[in-house]
Amino acid sequence: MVNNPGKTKGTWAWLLQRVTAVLILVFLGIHIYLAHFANLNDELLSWENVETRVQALPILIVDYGLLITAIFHALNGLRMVGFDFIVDKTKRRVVDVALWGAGIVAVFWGLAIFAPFLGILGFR
Amino acid sequence: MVNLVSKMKWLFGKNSDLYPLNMPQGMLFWAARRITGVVLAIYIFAHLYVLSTFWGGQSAWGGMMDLMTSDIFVFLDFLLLGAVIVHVVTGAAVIMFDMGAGVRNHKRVYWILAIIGVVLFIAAAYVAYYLIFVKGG
Repeated sequence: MVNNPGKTKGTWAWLLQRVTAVLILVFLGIHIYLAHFANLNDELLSWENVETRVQALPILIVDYGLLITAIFHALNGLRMVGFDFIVDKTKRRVVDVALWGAGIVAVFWGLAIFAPFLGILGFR
Repeated sequence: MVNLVSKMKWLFGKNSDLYPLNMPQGMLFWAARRITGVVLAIYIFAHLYVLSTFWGGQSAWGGMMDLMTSDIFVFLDFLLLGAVIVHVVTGAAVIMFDMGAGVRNHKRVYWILAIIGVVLFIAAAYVAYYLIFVKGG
């Protein structure tokens, strides 16, 4: 591999991209069903309904699972695209650090989004 | 007529680039997956931004939902559905070929997946259209 003599071959990135792909398919299915189809006679995205849904632990787990897998899958995908254009080892290291930073920030951002419903982080 | 058909073989025959099993589907799938992938990556952050209006309380959320149910955003939602389906279908090809399934018939697999994608999009778009414009009024 160019500029990467035998140390890391990207096996984990490759494998996790496939694992998260399948997980996203499951999580996204549940996410879309609950947000748009579960109870059609109701205003599903009203404040009260979002609150009820988010406070149910299994739904929270699905949404947070989707958050983490989707952000990993997205940023790892951008890394693949980027590395087709960036071959230099140092620049690749910079991209890796930037993407890890963006990913961690995005996950915490996403985790904090339901704070008003969960009564954490100074809400209520 | 027969003469014309045989004359056009260079264009549509089994050895031509336009024959269904000779098209550059692999390249097209690859490009489609990359483009939709980048779009969906951007969408995740847009989605987080929209949901962040929860922090502004009930009125901020209501205002954002009014914007999100406007014509332009509903139209964009249909494009999003298409992007997701393209990404899923092309990704299915990648995972299949990684596992060695269908490699020997990959040109046919691409066509089958493309047809599945089109059917999925029509079905899902119809359901969404029905729920939004017929049932939702």
